[in-house]
Amino acid sequence: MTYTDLIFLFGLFPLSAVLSLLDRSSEYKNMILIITSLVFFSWGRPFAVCLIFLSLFIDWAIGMAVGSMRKSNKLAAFVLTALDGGMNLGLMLLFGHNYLFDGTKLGLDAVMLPVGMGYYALRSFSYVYDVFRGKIRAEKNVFCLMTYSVSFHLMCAGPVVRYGDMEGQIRSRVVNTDKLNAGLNKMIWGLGKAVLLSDVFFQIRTAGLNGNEITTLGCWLGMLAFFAQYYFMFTGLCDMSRGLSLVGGFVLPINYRNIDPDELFTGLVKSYNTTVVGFFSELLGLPANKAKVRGAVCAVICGGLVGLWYQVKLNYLIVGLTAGLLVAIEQLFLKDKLAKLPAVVKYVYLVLLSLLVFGGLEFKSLYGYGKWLAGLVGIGTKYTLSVAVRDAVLNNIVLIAISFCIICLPVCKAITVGADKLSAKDRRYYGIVRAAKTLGTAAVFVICVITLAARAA
Amino acid sequence: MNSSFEKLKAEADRMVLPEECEENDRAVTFLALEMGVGHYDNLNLLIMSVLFIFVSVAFLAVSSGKISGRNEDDFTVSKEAFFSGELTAELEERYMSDLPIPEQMKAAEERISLLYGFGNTVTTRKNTGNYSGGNTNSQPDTDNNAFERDDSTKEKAVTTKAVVTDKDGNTVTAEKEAETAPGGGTTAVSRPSSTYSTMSTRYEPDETTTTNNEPPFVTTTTTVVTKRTDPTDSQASETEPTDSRASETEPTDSRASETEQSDTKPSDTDPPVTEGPAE
Repeated sequence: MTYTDLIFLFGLFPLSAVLSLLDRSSEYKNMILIITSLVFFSWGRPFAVCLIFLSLFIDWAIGMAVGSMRKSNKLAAFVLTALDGGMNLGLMLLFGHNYLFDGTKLGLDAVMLPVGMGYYALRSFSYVYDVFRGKIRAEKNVFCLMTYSVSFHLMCAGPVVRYGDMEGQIRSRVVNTDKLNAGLNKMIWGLGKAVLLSDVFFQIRTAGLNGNEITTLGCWLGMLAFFAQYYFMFTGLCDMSRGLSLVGGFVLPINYRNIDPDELFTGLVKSYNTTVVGFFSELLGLPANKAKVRGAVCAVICGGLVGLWYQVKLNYLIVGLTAGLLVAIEQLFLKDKLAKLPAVVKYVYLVLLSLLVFGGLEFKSLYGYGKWLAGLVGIGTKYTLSVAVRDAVLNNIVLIAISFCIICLPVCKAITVGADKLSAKDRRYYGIVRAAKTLGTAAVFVICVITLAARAA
Repeated sequence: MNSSFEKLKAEADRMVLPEECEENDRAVTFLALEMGVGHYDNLNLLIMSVLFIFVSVAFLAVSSGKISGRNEDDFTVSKEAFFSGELTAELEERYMSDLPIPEQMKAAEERISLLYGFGNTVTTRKNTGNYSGGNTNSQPDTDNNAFERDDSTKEKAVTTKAVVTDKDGNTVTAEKEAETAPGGGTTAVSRPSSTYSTMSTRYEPDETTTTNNEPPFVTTTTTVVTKRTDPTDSQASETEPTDSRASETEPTDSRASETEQSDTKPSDTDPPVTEGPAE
């Protein structure tokens, strides 16, 4: 089950929300959350997924042991933490990247939790790691830890929330109309991103990166569409995750930030997956690191780890390491020089660098990557633009324009500031702006429902 | 400067401000309602909640009205079914296939897509189906990128020769090779009580070359099971209407299927020749 399944959106989620609202106590809400999360994750393959839930008890026990030993026997606590890391790594490989085990006894038919498993494993390990570092106390109540670990609100590209940030909310939280309102709005706009916008760019990507008719513009547009597709899919799911959490009474940190050209390539890498990069950086001692060279080395390793976390494949490792290397070079040598450049040049720099580095994720071999690079400059291409790409762009030009307004920070800011100024003028204008926002949200919701239902038909 | 600050402070002290507590929250809410913010928030929440509940109830309660043809006995709640995932799969399939107004949803989606840009069209097709269920993912994972040099994805040319058929459309088959008795010599072996004959429903006279993308012409054969009571009866049974779905042929046991295979492989009809990769 995923966030964009109709049976989740209009079956499990409303059921969970309504049942949660029947009682004010957090214990009751946690119980409902655990039960519905079990249904959510066990939907496809209950037995196998139940094993994942069993790992939670191991995390809990190790956390307790590490908590009691971290002062008296640091080495034993370290070994236990490493063991927990190994177990979660194994779970992630087995259930999240199980294509590695094709043809063996461990092989499963399909990836079960393609995105959620990585977040699950990382979050579980982050709990034990935080106990080891002394940031939090070991949780004695296993149900609190279970709420933190298995809650479907936090899955599916949701941020890697640390237990320290969630503990208070798990023990006591209030669901009020403000949270419900903000949560539903956020969820619907996230759904729109994941269902409508992501799909548009998928069409352009498929047409542009079609090896049977390689065109120059197809190579450019196809790869840009590849980025946009995943950007909208991940940010959409992340927004949905935060929206669902608000409906459940949780407030989560922001995982995806808007791309700011002033932060250069380093900012782009960090903004894409803030909480994950933050955790890996902390794991490698990056924030507290004063030495520049050591920090640069850590950035490269961190890039490699994040790449592997996404997928255990060679091209992901290479792309991760390259991105880390570029971050290191930027921080060591180029930061001050690039900061003086105009914003437009910075945007061009970001787009070109992203294309060259992250474009490698799309190809399985250097041959394909090289062919695409040659296509960018017109080598090996007969035509500039194919009919398929042109049609894909023209058929969705309105949605592409909307996407541009969302991605491009200056345009997005201009629209927001304009709306704020208009609503500040008068009560009447304020009403118009709010009504337009509500109508827009309702329209997005209806269109998403129709699209999802039509796809299922 | 100092005096004005003290003046402001004294003024503030005179005012009775509520503490940071419930009263304070209530005052903020009251002010928000006065400004209209709260009203719009409530209105927004009301609209979204109603929409959500309406769609949820409609999807659960209203069925598509189509006859699904599934057997209610298939739905069994058991431990095995639960752990194997069959139960959840069945539940999801039922939910998806019972979603209301599938045709209208498709038509509405096409109408909406007209707003997305230029060149979108609305198809005037006869929409018949139920929700197929489980096909919500419109983004298949394009694992194999065509930029890649992958031998497995190269198209293989398949040369097929048309099946020879007579003027009635029946497949011309060679004389059956005499079946060999275990003893070695050629002798007649008694046939089973039912025989299998094949009929061709399509005539393709020329030799054609197709690729993997376009499957080669398939001569649909239908196996007609006839009781072998009289030799003339079996001839009559060959005029049975054909069925394009080969999978709906009569179920046969293993021995029978062997016989069928031998019947549909005439020796004078060239079998499809598979050549090496085109390039």
